[in-house]
Amino acid sequence: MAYAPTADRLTVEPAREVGATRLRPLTLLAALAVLAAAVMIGVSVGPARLPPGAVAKELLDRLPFLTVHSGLTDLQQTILWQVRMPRVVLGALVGALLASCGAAYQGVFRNPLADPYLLGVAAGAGLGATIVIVYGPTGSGGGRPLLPVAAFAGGAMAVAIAYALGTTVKRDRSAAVIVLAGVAVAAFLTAAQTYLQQEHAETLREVYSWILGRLTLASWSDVRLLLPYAVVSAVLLLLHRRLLDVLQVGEEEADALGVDAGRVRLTVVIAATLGTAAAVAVTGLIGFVGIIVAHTVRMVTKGSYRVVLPLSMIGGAAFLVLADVIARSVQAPAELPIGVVTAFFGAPFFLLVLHRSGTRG
Amino acid sequence: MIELEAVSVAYGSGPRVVDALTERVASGEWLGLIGPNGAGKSSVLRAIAGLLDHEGRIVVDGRPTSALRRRDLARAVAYVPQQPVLPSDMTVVDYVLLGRTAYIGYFGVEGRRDRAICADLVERLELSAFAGRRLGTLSGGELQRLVLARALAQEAPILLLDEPTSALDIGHQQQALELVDRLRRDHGLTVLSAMHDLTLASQFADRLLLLQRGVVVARGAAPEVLTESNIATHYGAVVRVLRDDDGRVVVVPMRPGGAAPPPPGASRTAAAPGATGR
Amino acid sequence: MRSKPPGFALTVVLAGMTAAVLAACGSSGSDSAGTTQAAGSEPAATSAAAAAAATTGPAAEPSTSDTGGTFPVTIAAANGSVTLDQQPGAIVSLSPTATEMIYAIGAGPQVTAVDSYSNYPTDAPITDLSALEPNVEAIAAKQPDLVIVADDTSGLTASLGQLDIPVLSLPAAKTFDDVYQQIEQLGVATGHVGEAAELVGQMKSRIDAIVKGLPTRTTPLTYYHELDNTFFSVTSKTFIGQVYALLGLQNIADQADPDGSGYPQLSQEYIIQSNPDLIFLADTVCCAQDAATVKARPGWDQLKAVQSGAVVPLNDDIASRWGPRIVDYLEQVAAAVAKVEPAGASTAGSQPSTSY
Repeated sequence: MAYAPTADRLTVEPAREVGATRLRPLTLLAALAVLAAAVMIGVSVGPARLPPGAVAKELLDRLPFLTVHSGLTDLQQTILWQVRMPRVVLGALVGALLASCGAAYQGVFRNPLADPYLLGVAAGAGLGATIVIVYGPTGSGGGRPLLPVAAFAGGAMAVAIAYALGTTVKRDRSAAVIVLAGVAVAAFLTAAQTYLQQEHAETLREVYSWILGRLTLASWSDVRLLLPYAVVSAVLLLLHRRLLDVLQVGEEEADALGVDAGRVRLTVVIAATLGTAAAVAVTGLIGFVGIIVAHTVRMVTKGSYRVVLPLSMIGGAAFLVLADVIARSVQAPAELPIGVVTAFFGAPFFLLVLHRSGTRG
Repeated sequence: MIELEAVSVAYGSGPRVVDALTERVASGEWLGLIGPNGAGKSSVLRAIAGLLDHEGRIVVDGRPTSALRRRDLARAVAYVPQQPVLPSDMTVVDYVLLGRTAYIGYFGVEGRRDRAICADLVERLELSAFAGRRLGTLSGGELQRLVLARALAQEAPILLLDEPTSALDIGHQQQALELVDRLRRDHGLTVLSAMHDLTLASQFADRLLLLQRGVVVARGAAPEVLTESNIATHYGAVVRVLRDDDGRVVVVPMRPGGAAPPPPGASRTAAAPGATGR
Repeated sequence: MRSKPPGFALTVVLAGMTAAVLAACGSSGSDSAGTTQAAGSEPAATSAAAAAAATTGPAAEPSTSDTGGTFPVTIAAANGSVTLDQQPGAIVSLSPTATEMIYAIGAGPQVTAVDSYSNYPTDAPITDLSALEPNVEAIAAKQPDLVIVADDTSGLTASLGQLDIPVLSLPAAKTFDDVYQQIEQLGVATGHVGEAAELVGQMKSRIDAIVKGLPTRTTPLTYYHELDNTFFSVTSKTFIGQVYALLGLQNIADQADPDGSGYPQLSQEYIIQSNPDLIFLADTVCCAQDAATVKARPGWDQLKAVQSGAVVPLNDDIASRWGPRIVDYLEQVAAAVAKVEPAGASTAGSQPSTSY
């Protein structure tokens, strides 16, 4: 193709246009359909063995202007609406949060294996929870109502310390320093928590169960507690989709392109930490969701955070809902800790990543 | 277009890598920065691009850079680093669109004009065949053009190039520099480039600035700056500088030993392979 | 505008953190996996030795009925054959259950130290010796002539054996017969054979009376025994499960743990659907649960046990030990059982529906 120099400025009407990567409506619909299916499965399957047809009728009954008799007993209705439904909703919320925060961290730190616990949220939340369990007031319920607050505060503080440490070491634009600081903070806080646990061994089981993470105690009040944080975090992260793409060329080039990379990074970390800490505060440390979903979405869709972020959110919700179905059905009526189920997916996931990086390398 | 007044750059509490540099670059001019490793060439470019702290004053397009927000500076100065980060999964179009960042609101998305500019650049830089492809599938020459496309998308009157050709073969080197030259003439760009290849620098830049340890040791047109003694002194290299009939300068590394080289300026042969007096 | 040099302060902080991490790692010592099994001294992992020991009785010489007993004695315990040359006078107990048994047979004055969890009886000389991670030196420092443990995973028998200190292992009971046997073994070991036999007899007759005193029912009552607030429960395979079985109660957790450990974590849905007649809370101490917190759980207020006040708070310790107080436990449970109305008066689903 011969190059014909033109003296005038660029014309505004191009001959042909390949658009920027964006989330196609069809893809979004497909993802939402998967989520809807997961939610339906989550609501229909469980140890109480409610007939799925009756469940569907019960759901239809809740729609305005529609009255359907589902045939469920009062007890069954209670189970559906007070126990199972909040569990599914909470699972979807937490899954969406962890996955989108994982994607955001992967973007900000340009590390495809970053997870939302990278900067010490997990360790900080764990320590906060342990402190409440060990030193909480006695009496009816003990300090349990304080658990989410303490976990949230612990998680947020850990990240704040890690971030502060990482950015004051030297005026280095590298995000790797912050990650290192996060590792150090996490190690320290984990040691503190382990020490407390050992000193008060009778609390071991409760702390351990909290650390494994579970949706077993999900209730509508948990959902209400989490919702505002989830919304704020999700909205903030989605708004930063394009900026996450800009960050992919590194902080220095991003600065040169006109973006204050440091500020974007801080805002994204705050939004992601908010979501993660809130999720962890309510359900404990459910692992692997944050890393598997985002990474898988990226492997499949390849590229822009305008696609990866929303799809991770939806995918994470579906993933956790389905994982929870497995957790409460495989050994019904006994429960598997959900951390075990997600870890079960985690191992083959890493093998897959290893394999792909090997074939690509 | 660019004014540097007593600009100094130091990393931490170490010695200055750029020492009280004062220079002016006229609009539309191509200034080549040359000098040995560590002379401060890259640092000068990065200081102008607002990526390094510096003492002294830098003025671009009539405005001091210290007073400019990042967005405004990005609209005035397009910086192409020596080793740009090229996310292998990003598409060509997305990458070029990054150049429009300074024109898009914080939470905004690109608009019609942004897309049109990028599409036009993709076409003019002969990347249309690759428009939807990922960066990981492109060759060195194609990536070179891609990086230039992104820089041009910034619509900035100043183009800073840090070693734009060191990773390219000889053919692509020429192509890339020809392209830059044509684009700068078309759009009236001011170009400041740091280069290792002295011959190429002399053939494309209007003027040269020879730096050593942060200080300007020679400035002016290529024949004045590229003398065998200058190069020997500041690069510590033994070369022959040849001039052809059209006055173009060729710098040739000359391995010591062998026949004694003829005195400088005496050779009247055009640059032909083998005619290097060995 | 110059960048800050890596600060001295930062170096100190990092060094301090490193030192703290190393110190914490050092003090936490053995892996926590080992401690979780023994936490709360619930019936621990099965050991083949315990199963073997359950079959034989004390191989002692025929005893007279006077409390002195005769020495030397040899006991076939879970950790092998234990021989005592004379009546021990400086007993160290690292098993809260054994502590209770010892005092119940009148051997209290012979006890010199008990572990940190041995909180009953209250006049036992409680120390900070650890039952879960026994420290040989600390134990030896008390100069015991008999050490009683509930499991020998840390090789205590061997280590104390080197110091000529006999160790008697009385692991978690699986059945009531185990309980009686352990009491008798302790009687032989401490020289209170008569009192031991008396205690066993009393326990047996009390239990008999309790069981006989229960009203008969056409359909057995169901129950849910809660170990913690994340719905860990016990099956009838466990010792505590057998206590309930004695009273003819049916455990809703049995279906949940067909091949398992005896300690399944139940799903809330399942518990609600099973709508047990009785709910026993063995997490009043560890997790501060009581009837009020149970009622506050989503959906639990629909359960008949909650509505009829059949939520029974129990002491965590008694529920997890297998000592003489198990009979008190049985009494408490029986009292709750007796209060439940006869089968047929309350059925699931007859409660008015609530608004959501």
